[in-house]
Amino acid sequence: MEQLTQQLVNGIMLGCLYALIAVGYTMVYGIIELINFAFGELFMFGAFICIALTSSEISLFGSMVGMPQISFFLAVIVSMLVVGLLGVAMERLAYRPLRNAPRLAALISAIGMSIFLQNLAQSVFGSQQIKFPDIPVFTDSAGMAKAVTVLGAQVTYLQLFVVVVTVVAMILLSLFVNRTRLGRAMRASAQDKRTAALMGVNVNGIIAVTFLIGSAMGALAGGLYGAVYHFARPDMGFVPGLKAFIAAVLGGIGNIPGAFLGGLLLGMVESLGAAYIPGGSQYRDAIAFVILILILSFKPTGLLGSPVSEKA
Amino acid sequence: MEQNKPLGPLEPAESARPGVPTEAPEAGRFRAPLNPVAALFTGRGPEWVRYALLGGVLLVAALLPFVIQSDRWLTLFTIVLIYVVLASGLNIVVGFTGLLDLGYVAFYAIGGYYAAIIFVQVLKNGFGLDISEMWWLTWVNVLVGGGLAAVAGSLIGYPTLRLRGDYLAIMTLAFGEIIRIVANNWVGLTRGPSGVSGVPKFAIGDFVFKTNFRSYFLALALAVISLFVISRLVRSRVGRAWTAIRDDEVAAAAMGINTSRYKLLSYSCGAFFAGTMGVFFGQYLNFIHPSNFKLMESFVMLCLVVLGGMGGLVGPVVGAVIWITLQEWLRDFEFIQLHPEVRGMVMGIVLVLLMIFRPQGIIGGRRVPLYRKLRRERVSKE
Repeated sequence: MEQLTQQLVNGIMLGCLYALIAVGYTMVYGIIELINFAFGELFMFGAFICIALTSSEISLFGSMVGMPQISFFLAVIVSMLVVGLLGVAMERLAYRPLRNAPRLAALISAIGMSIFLQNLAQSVFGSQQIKFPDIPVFTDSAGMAKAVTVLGAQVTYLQLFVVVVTVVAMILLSLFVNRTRLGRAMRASAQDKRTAALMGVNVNGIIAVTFLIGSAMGALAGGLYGAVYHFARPDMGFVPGLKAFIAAVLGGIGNIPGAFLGGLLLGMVESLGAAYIPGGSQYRDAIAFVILILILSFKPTGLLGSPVSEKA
Repeated sequence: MEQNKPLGPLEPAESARPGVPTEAPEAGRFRAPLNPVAALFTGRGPEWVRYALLGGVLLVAALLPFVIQSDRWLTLFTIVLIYVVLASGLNIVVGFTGLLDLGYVAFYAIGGYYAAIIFVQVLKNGFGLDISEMWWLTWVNVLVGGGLAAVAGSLIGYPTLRLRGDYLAIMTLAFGEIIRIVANNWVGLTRGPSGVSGVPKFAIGDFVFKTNFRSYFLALALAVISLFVISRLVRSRVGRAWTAIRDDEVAAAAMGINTSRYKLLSYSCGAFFAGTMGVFFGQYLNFIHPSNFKLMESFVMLCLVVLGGMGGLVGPVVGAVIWITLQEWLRDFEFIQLHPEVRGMVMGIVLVLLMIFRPQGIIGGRRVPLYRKLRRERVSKE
């Protein structure tokens, strides 16, 4: 029982992190139908920027540089801003020129972007894993993570924080998309870019905003992921990025509640599967893929996705 | 008269979403300067030029090992030939049938692991056979490995039949990763992360393909055979069905094409060539390791196809030659030796720039003429 609740807690937290990255995938896909493989890399940059800002010094391009050592919460917000702008720049430089090109060209461009960013991070921060500094609010004086016990499971403050932040972010995003003028413009662009433009929507601006939000969410997830697992590494974004994409597909791509649901589901199944299936921890990554195949086999549009008509 | 519209194999899936514009994709801005070269390669000129060019390329390829003494470059060109076949095989699925496959590396892995496992089993159990007498097995393996991959191709293809576009891509990606994870963890069968070493080399009796020089010619022969088979395949009835499915699946089905069957066939045929190359790779490097079959490899193969220009026969070949050579050539720069990650950055940027300025690929997506006779008539009219 205790193990079960513990795994559930871990799974929910992991799922929240997947969900945060998945939002970026799903929003961007919803509008320009591009699988932006580079979100995993933006996630990684989010973690690195958080580390850089919260440490007293860090090695940049191989030389030690003094750092402001600001609080974690401020660092997350700054990294969300920086990475958000990075995402917008990426869209402007690598994807916008390909808006009308064959779809595969844009996909290859995204892969190129992902390779570039990963190597850029290696160049800036070094290829070694670097340690995430302890966050004073979440650790006691002995350096142990503060935790509460719920039904026999240790829930750290940090895990609680992750879940709360994710839920709040999801609610805010849903409100933003469904209730605001900008959100309405976003939905209009997702349905039909040309008609939306005729109605006075600045489609390019909307796409930039989408990238800004998606990338910022990825950076948020990166900062939290780094804090939870205490590390950052230039290739850390690949697997979570992939799983986040799976989460987005599971929930039905283009659908924000779907991304949340898919992320939670994936995180929990992965966590429980690793604990209870014999040999599950070795095949941990495979579990996500098997789930994906099963769900797509029976519901090809994802859990909450709307069916796509055969031919318009 | 010429169809200059670059091919977008995923167009049918795209237009399936109501309201998304489906007009012809805009050609790259830097299209013009490369076009005469592309035209030469894809045979828009007179027929004899095309054959002369083909002969010239083959001649250069055959003479290459006599000119290049460096072992490193000879190894590289052998690898290039492997990628030529892989890219051409993937092009059957992506370029001709219009199914985006991001898990193509799985079939390459199946071939490679088949060669390795057969070797381990024969070594372990003996089956009353002398391993030194088993040279013929290395050749049988190529076909059996390809066959196994083809079977896997249709098995994996089956559940994806209902899916379209990007859902299909992510499903194939999942299968590719599952096969790698299994190879990494099923230690009893694949020796897991330590890999299988000592896979026997190709041999005919006592004549072992042990030098790079000999292996290169073997690779060249395999590549030429594969390309020839593919070129016949895509011009056959089957190839026409594939093209029809790519251009408009619903219309193809309405014309009486059994789309499921031809899609599965496409997966199988593509997988077959990956399987043969997997076996070749294993018996050439004598070593198989799960890290040879990472997801990134699938992306690289897809890049080769798109880079060269899909939907034609020449594109993937050009893509593979240019890209894999560039990858290795960049290592020669002193700056890059000092900062290896710069190489990755350059490759990434080149990929993005090429797509921006030439989204249809270097050669450009040009249809393979379906009826050669018609084509000839058209040429003579010009």
